[in-house]
Amino acid sequence: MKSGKTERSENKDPRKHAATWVVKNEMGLTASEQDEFNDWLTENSGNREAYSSASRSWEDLDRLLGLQASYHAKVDPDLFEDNRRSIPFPKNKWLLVGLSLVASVALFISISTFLPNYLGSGENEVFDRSEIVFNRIERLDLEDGSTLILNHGTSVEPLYTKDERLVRLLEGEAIFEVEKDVNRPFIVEVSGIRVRAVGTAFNVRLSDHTVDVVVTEGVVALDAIESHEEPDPRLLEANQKAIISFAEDETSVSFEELDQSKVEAQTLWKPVLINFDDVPISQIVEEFNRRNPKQLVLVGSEFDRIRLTSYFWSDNIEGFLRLLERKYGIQIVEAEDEVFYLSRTFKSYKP
Amino acid sequence: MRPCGQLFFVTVFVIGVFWVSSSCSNEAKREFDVVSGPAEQTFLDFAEQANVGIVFDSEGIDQEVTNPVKGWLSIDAAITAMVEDTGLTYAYDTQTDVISIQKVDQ
Repeated sequence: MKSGKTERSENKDPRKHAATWVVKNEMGLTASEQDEFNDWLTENSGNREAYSSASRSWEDLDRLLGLQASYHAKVDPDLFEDNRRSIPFPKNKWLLVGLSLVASVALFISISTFLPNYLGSGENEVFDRSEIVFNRIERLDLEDGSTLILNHGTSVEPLYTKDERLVRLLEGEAIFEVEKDVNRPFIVEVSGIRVRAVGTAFNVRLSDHTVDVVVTEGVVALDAIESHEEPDPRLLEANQKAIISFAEDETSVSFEELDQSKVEAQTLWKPVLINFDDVPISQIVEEFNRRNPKQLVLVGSEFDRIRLTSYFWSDNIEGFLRLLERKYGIQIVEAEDEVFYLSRTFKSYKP
Repeated sequence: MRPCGQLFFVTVFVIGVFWVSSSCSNEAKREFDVVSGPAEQTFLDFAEQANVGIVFDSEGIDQEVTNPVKGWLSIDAAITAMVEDTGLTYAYDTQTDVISIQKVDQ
């Protein structure tokens, strides 16, 4: 009985119907709905007034969409005027939710786009350790299970087809750990040279006038692309290195046998997890320096008193420095390009 | 619905969008398979699989035994499962990829 009364009361309220018709009109009416809408409008003047009011309200809501993506836009002061109450919100609440979502996303994009620029525009920059960023070595897992380990400043372009797995080395140095697939050779293209492998691991470094290829596992074949006459196709085995030099009008190739220590030295930049078992900080610094172009310099002899048990990735200098900073109060100062001085702060050190 | 109700809706969605976007960026999952065993070995396996550093902040941690972890998990979820009810606790610095392990009573 109670619900019946409610239904009848809603049926009599032209504002509910008006809001429904506004939404339906916005979405497009079918022929039968158009007829029904005309009948309802001509039924009485109250319906026409209600529809007119609801239409105005809808237009006002449309103005809300105008706020999208404009960070500096000001909210229309009339937007939330009292006539908002004439909108039959219970039936339109999902529309409101949708509009709110649009506005929220727009606001989020605006803030995330413009706020950092705005905050960073100050001329006086305070030196902050957090600004020193040591990017870690990037690892790229390809769809066939092969892995590329990219040294700093390296750019590659994988171009896989059903017949071959082609990767262009555009700049820098990378280690290629290739998943075996006899039907689909893995090829690295670099400065007109093709390094072809089937299930192997090798390092390729591109510098201004040379390409170095070091094989750490298996066999690769060096081919020249058509535009180059040299080098001749040549197989390169584990622990061998090829150096291809590009002069103005001549390309030359030399080969070198490497012992295990030299092979390791060539790929020393590859991140490895190192176990430091209760060792002084100086020993950890020594290991980081051996494996990274960025060098750490300990200022003072007190560092040997601090010992650490940890597992550190060899490319995560930042993690190591932050730990020293936070736990032992060690200050880090960037002395020159890629050289960082570490000094102890006695007052904050609690052994 | 009154105007303050509309404002509430907008505020809730703004917060929601921020929350979802920040959650997505921090909750990358990876595959873990670390067996139960002495902490010295299990944390080494964990560090390998999570690509994070581990620092032992207390003595004797290597003698503790950690729980096994297997499946696609966030780093946070995996390390939580490893040390649950073991007497160990951790602090994860997501900025530097380093996890500090210490005993609960310290």
